[in-house]
Amino acid sequence: MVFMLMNTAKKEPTSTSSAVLHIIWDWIVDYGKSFLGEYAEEAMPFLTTVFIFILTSNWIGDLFGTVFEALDIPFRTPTANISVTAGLAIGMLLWIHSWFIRHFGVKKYLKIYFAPMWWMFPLNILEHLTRVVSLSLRLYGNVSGEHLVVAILALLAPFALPVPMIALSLFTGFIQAYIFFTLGLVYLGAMIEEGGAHNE
Amino acid sequence: MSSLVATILAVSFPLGLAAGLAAIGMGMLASKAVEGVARQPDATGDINRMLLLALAFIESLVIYVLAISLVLLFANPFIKLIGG
Repeated sequence: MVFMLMNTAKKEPTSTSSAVLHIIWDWIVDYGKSFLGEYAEEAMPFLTTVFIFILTSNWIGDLFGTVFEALDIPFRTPTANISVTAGLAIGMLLWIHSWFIRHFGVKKYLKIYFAPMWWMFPLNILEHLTRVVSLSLRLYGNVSGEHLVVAILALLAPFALPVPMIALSLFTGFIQAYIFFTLGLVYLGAMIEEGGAHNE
Repeated sequence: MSSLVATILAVSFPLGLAAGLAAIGMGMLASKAVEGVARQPDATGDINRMLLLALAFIESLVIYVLAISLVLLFANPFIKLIGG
């Protein structure tokens, strides 16, 4: 989807909608440039796709949860499930590492683990592993915690009281998607700073 | 004391403590960020970004406590040991 958007954005804008897309895409790339510098243009499509995916996953339960409940469809918010968020975090990290290898080669990739000193190796490994845990737990905890609050409020007062909480849940859902996306950017940027830039 | 009461206490007190302490930290962070923006309105974008990131890191600590609480409430591994 974002690749499509990007292709549209590369051409000169011909209609109003493509001009709007152009502006949005420029804005996203500018945001990415503050972390990645010159690599923003190639890295942003994937990260933006992840952002849109998490955003829809977060919102789908808030917006249509009652509809699914009424129709008896056994569907729950995907990101309120620890397996989904763990999968997303692992995928994100694999993508970051493979992106780095593709652009800078295996040698520089291995060097990262031994920077700044060789005995930092276990700490570096630990750092990369905790990133996965914290990414997945943060997303899962926020979304499912918010759902728990809404459920408890609905239990106490089934009429109208949960509505502001659901609105807050929409807001947190957006913030969490944004945080996930930005942390992906930050991790990639940090990796490029550590391994790619200062060795050239 | 039944294990249900023990579980509820073990879940609610640490979560409240963690949320309160994190709220203090977040308050400090937000006040400093607002000061920074007031002093230097040009840097609003950068400060905003860093503020959100730092808030996310503080929040994740509370989320760890919440995750432990959820495990204790809904998937308690110790409940079999003490027999309900």
